[in-house]
Amino acid sequence: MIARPWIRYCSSGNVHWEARVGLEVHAQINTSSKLFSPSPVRFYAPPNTLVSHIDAALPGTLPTLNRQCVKAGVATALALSFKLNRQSYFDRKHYFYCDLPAGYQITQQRVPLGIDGKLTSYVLSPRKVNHLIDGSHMPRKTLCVRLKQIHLEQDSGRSIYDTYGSQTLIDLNRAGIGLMEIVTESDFACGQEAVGFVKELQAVLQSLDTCNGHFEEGAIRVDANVSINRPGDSFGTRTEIKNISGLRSLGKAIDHEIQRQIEHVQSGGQIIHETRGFDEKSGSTLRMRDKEGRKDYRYVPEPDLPPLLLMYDEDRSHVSTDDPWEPVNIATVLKSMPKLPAEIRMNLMNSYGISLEEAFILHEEDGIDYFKTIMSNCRYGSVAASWATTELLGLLRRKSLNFDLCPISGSEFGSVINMIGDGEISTATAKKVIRMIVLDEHQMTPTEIIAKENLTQMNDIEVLSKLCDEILNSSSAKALLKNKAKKNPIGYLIGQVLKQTKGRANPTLVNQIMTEKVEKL
Amino acid sequence: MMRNMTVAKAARLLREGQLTVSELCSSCLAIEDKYNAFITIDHDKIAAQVKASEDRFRKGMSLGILDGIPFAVKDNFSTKGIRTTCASRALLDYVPPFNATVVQRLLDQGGILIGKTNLDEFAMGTTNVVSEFGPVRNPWPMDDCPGESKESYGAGGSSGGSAAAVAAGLSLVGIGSDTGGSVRLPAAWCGLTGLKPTYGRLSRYGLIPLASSFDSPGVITKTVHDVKSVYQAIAGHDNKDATSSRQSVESQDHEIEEYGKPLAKYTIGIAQEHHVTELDKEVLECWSETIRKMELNGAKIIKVSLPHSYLMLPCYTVLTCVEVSSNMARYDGLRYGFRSSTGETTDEVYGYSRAEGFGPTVRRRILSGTYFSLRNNRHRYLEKAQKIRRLILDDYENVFDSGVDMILSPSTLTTAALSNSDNDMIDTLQHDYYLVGANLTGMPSMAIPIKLAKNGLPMSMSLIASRYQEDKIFHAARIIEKEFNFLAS
Repeated sequence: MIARPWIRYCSSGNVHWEARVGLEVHAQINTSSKLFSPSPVRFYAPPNTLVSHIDAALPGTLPTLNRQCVKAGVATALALSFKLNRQSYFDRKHYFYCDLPAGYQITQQRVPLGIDGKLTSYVLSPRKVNHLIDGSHMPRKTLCVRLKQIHLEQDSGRSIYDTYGSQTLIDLNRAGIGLMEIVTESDFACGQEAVGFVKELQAVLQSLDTCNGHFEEGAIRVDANVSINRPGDSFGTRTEIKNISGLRSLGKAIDHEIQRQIEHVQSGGQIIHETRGFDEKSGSTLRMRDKEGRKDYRYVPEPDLPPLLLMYDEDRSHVSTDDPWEPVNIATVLKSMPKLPAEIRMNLMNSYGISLEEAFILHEEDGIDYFKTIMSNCRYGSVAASWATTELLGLLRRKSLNFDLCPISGSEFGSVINMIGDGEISTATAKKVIRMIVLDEHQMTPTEIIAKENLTQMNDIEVLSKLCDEILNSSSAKALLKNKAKKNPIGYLIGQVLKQTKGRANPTLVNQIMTEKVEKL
Repeated sequence: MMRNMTVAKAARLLREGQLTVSELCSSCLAIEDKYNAFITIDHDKIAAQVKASEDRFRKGMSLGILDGIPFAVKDNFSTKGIRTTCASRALLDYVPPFNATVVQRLLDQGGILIGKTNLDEFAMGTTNVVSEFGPVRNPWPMDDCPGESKESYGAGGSSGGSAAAVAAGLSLVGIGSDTGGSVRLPAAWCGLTGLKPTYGRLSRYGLIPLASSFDSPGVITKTVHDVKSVYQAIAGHDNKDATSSRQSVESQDHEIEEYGKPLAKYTIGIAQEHHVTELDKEVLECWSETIRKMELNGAKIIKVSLPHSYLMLPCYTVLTCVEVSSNMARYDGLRYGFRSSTGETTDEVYGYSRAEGFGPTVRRRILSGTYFSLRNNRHRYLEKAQKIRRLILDDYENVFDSGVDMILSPSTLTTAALSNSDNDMIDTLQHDYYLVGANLTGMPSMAIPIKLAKNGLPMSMSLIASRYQEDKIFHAARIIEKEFNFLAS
């Protein structure tokens, strides 16, 4: 792991600044019903059709805890290395807003579900293949992010302002859906670091299936808090940034806010603790009207719910119970934990000798199953990974395909790689064949094409030697060699050999032979 | 007939065919409601229930002791299809789409829901004077008291309507809610037996909450036997109420009395802090008489102390106001309830709807509760009160741990207050002095009518026991009831 240098922002006055950024992530829990009521959880539904009496806060209704949500919270906490509190509590957070039917949100304020977690994420940069950004990301730097706490709470409904009718419309379908709130320490120094973290968190949540992690559907929402300080000073005043709609907006919003704060302070201003919203169009943060009114939430313990109890009993870890009043058994959850992205990548790297970048891309692009199929008959893991994540992936992207829909089967691809590794075909041939199938949609397997078009590599030294002699004896070659001004005549001559053999000549051998012969001249 | 009719007697008459359900319910409805006990009576629904019950009796398939028995429900319990107002303008037209669990359980056993009874607005009060529908009058002194122009007395609150209904014979059972004495106080003032069981014994689902950690549904009837029957029929765990107890409701039947005196195995505590100057002299004497009768029946009487008694009312006030300010936050007129026609912005709509929908008592408690829970104030009020509540709980637990089975005290300092007496919040709170302890601790407590005072108004005593010890209370109360035979008054 690389030690994290703070990113320093320079301004025209040559003053250096540090930025400290923390995130608050709200992840919708992927369960079939809501956190405290039996209403179904669905993304698309006509407004106000998924609202139970409890969600509408009808007088006299009471919340009852959905055990599946607790299990999801426990699994997520374990995956993020949190220390679980065996006893945590629910509290009411009061504020008046039309999308909050009860006038309070049930959350966990005194004692959350888990504390002191961590997640190793990567600072990503867009990957370039052949000088073109190809859409995937390379992990450039490792970042160990400290996580302050995780807790369960209710989601609110949605309000839509109808400018035409001058009214506010309220949809309570979302009211009461379970959320896991994950709060990080201020361990990020810029937008890029924050984005990399969120991506890794999304991957973790998706592998656990506790949240589908999609920004667009609102399954995951991120707020950022940003402050700046001179190197060596303590934290500056923080501002909160809300209304961030996607990963790119997250990075932009953070970087813009850092810049805004630096400029503001440098021109004599003071940063005030406020909430700012990110405006897509202008790409800047604007002060928000404080929709929640006074920030005194008057937290009180939730009297309608008993404490949230967890237990750890290995002897009963195989027992699965539906009894809603039984404490969730941490041992049971641990037993059924799937492999997390970090472990999956490590296994790939260790089993097949591939690099972190390749493992990262295979995981990100859902190519692991395909890769394993390749490796069922391929003897060159490193080469396979390299080709799969660059050449093949690039071509698939151009045809809007993915590994699942790849027209070359995994085992066929493995055979191609074997042929490259064994020297049976040249890299140029391999590229050509793969393109033929993926881009030009030839309905044949690579082996079939290679056999049919007789594309195997020519490795016979005698044959190659004769070819080289032929080329050297041509008039154009002789003229070239006489003209001492031309750089790298050998490259040209090799090219000629390859042209003549339609790319089949082994370029390394040709290079060797040609160089020897030219020197002898 | 209805004056002395009890659930037990009615059930027997129905079973033996000497009375029909229709006759029974008609007798109830025939009595004039001079007391303003009821807010809503749905005659169509009653007729349907009566018919169904009579069908069952005809086929010999009665659902049990409660089949055909009329019961009245305080208008803060949700009833499906029947408006539930909480005696407030805020919910004047609110019709719930579901039944509260205790109501459902009574209906499931064939009980006839006679109507929704009057209460202090949102159950905030001790005199049942503050209601959108006007005050509830106490049926006592009863009409057969000769001569003098009678003063009008309050029925007590906040479940005044349920108590008045049972006392006047308009119903055989009254269901109320008890947050600081709201079932036991009106029971006491109306000469009835009123039970607030252990917190969590009766489901709160559907009961429109006042203070969630204090509220308990309660039962008001004429006799201990009636209270016990109804309680056992509706008690027990409810999946919809996460605070409801999972402890099974088993009854040890104390009918079979051992040799010797019936109360021989009980130690009754008398708290020195309950002997206060404000206690009416007649009630004090009644207390002494009750103690004597219990001793005669074999009980051991000892003096005990509840040192933090002087803090109970302030502690109760702070904590309930805070819970009120929280529970009332949902009344904004958007999804149900009263919505003001004034106001355009969200804040204005909320502000006007709540200001116009809530009466002054409710508004005062909301504002107080908000004040007590503000960030700058919590350590002085809310957090202090929470700690004091623990001290009060310790007081009671220490007494019960030392071998005392129950504490006997008067139910109230005086008999019923006059209807037109001042309704100052702090003064009226005194009526709950003996009663709030049971709500602060979650312990079961019952008010038992003893005898009439010189002014023709009932006097009542209270028993409180440790959690889940309702059976001790039923047993001791039965003996007291037998000794004094109040029903004959």
